[in-house]
Amino acid sequence: MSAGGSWVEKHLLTVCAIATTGLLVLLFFYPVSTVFVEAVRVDGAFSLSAFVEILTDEFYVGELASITGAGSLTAAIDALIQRAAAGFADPRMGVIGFTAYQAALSTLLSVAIGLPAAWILARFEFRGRKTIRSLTILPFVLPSIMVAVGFVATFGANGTLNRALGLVGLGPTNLLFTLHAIVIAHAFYNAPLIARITTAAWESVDARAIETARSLGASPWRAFYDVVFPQLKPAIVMGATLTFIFTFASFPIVLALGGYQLATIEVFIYRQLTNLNYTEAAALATIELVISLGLLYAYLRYEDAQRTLRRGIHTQPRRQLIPTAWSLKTVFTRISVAGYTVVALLVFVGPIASMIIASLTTSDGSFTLSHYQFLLERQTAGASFQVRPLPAIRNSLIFAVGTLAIALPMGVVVSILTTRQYRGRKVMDAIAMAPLAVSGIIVGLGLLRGLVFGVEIAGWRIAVAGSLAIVAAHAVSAYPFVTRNVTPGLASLDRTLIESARSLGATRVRTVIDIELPLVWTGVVAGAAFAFAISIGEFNSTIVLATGSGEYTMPVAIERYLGRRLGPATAMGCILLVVTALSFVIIERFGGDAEQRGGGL
Amino acid sequence: MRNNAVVDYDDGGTMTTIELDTISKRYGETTAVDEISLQVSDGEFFTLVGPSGCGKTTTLRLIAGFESQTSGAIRFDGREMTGVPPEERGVGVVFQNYALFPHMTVAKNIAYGLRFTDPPGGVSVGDRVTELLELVDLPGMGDRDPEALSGGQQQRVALARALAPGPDLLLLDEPMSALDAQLREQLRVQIKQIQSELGITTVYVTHDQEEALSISDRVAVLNGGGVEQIATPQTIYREPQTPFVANFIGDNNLFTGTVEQVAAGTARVSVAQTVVHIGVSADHSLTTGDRVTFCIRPEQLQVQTQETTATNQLVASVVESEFLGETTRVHLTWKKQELRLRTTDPLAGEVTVTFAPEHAHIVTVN
Repeated sequence: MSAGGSWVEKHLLTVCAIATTGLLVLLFFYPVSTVFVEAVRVDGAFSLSAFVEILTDEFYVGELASITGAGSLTAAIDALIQRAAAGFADPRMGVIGFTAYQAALSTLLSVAIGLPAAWILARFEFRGRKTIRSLTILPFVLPSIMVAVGFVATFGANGTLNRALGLVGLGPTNLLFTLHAIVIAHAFYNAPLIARITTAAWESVDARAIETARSLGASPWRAFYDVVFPQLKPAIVMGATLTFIFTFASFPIVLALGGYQLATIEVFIYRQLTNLNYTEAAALATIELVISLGLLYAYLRYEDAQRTLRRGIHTQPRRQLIPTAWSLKTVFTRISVAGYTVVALLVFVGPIASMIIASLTTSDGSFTLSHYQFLLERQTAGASFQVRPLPAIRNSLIFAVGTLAIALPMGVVVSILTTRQYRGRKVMDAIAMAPLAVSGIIVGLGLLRGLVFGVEIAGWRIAVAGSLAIVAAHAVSAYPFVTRNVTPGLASLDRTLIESARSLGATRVRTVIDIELPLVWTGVVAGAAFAFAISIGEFNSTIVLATGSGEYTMPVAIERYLGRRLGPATAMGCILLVVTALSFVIIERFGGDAEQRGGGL
Repeated sequence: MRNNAVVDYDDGGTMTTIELDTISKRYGETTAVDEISLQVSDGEFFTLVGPSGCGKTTTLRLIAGFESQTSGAIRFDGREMTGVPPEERGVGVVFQNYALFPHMTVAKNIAYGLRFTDPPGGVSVGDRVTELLELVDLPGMGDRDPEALSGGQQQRVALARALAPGPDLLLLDEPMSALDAQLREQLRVQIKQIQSELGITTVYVTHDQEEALSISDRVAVLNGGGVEQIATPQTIYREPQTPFVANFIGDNNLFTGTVEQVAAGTARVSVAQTVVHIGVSADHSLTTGDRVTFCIRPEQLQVQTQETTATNQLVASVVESEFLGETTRVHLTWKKQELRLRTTDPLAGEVTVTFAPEHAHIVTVN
């Protein structure tokens, strides 16, 4: 029988595992840890003073500062009593409080917009349902800075909202630099996520369980409450938790829509960074990470307790959107659907349409190509310190290709390693998914301070170019999406397929090449498109690493233009939209099956 | 089934015996396989049968090398297999769910194992695939997608794929559980024919005792991770060594009583205040006062329609008659104990049941 393959073939998986771990340490764990070390080091000695400063500063912790900054326990209690006596009037939240507050509001709105979408997608049949269902992954490939530009174009003084209000004799209103704009923009991002997760849960509700409840005497509402809702709840909690974590660390949207009045922790980290105040930035980043990880941990505990196995389910039949017979009830539900559709169009299509319109109109509303012309002129006549469009496009594409080259193999290897059953798999899973929980700014900061500025290891000075660091940061934030796309397919593969191949003489590596990868190929391609799109749209770490260098990308260029004029920013945003749309088409073409298999995020 | 001798390239030099030497497999606290020892001889059709959770599939997976035993040793032809990966064991495996590669045609599935080894007998890969398709009665089906085939056809492709590289050992894990009854019987005959034609050592796993009896040279009855009995189907059926085997293999009636008197070849036993006479084979030596458990197959219980002077008369009442076509299975109670017997037609009311002493088989004595 078979000789069993060469040494390389036998050990390739181990080699890949070691290489991937090494890369992760080099590109993620080491840089991020330098940030945290920085936070507790003042003048070369260990010190928690940066934390103490932040946690007792009213600017950051608001009201709590009167307690945390009291100096002694009795003074703290006195302060508390004083505040209580005043009835906690006019409380100040501080930056941390505001960050949590806006995240909570954003989560509420996202759930409010996401759940009706889940209801419509899960319970009605209509043309384009599958397309809309797959469009719910759009936020993950839309560059956040571009969405921010879209919202500026919607809510600004000359924005589409004011123009529309003007047409009916209302307004003007200014939502820009208000909490409303931030919260709506966050809902734009996260409501589809909640809709997506909840729809998947709804579709996996066994119709026979509902029928059983009905036959035992439950009314339709009662059956929904007793059978359907308990199965939706974990999905909603998951979506809400993820939304809170995402919006808690939100950066480009708050930066662009919040102005200087409204700023989250992440924005302050960035500001401290641009002021070269690294210790305070690092301390803030640590506090942010602890809060995010705490939430994530609480959620994972909850998820573990909720886990159930669902097999061989019969899904509920969907209702036709246009009913065969009209009754008061069918009319009411259809009016609800229509009303929701209008809201959804405003929230989801509005900003993108506004951006396109703004890129093609002057401030008085007439058609113009001048914004695109500005980009052309800047390209031909711009000074070297000015941001030119072509280098931005070129850099974005080069970084995206580089990201793909690293993130794709890394993501696939992690998938293979985390779907096999062995001891410590959960730990491996958590380590591999850690980049999802750490903000891009921290990764960027770590790479900047750790690798770009150079480190000394055993007498060797190691420094990497800024562009390499950007690719590294992009790869770190992109590969979890490859893994998330590939893992469901691999996990659902029948293990007897692999065992059959093994017993027929294939080594472990050969089964990966011959059996597993071909069968999850759509997931691999979708993951690749995700990685590409994530890199194209990445803003947080790029802006940290691109500061003061010529390595700017399209999102960075948009932010630079946005600081001065909206027109060119929208024009650049449209170019970014086209590039991103192309990646999305690839996801749509190849990734459809991966979604059917219930691909994670 | 064609008689296709050309497929068998057995050069007579290879022979495969399997030895499991007190192997155990534990998952944390649970023991799936508990010190199983058995030998399978060359060319033998050996079946592991037992209820779900008895460890039969785990044992098969240990032989295949998909999992490694916690303790004990597995030897092929005396060669220790511990640490040898599945691809180097030379086993063909057929699973219950067929496990055909969905992205390959039938022919590519069958040829897959030939990527790693040359076809036996020096034929080309194409010829090897053709002859295997003929062997499993699917000529000309090579270009089909596996999913276009019926369950029975898919399972025959899986069998062909497992046999293609000329393995020394064939492992079948409940290959027919997903098929309907009629197909199952056809495929059973076909598998047995192919196996004896090729003379390939085969280990077969099933929960179906009827399947186990009909197809095997020898059967191991497993329960709770351990071996209850290993013997030919006839011995397993007629001379079960444990109450579990007596009950699991076919219908049975078990009685436990106290030995009152022993004579040459027979014994007088008191069961529930009733004296019966049972045959005692040379294997057992009874003494007065022993607790003895014996069994009588339902077909050995005779219903007496008239007054009889026969020994071993049990007066029982009918609970239920199940008409099965060929026979009727009658459930009775006798002294709070359930009895089963077979008749041609349903019964009702009180009946007198007798059995010949030599039809009682002693299971355990203590």
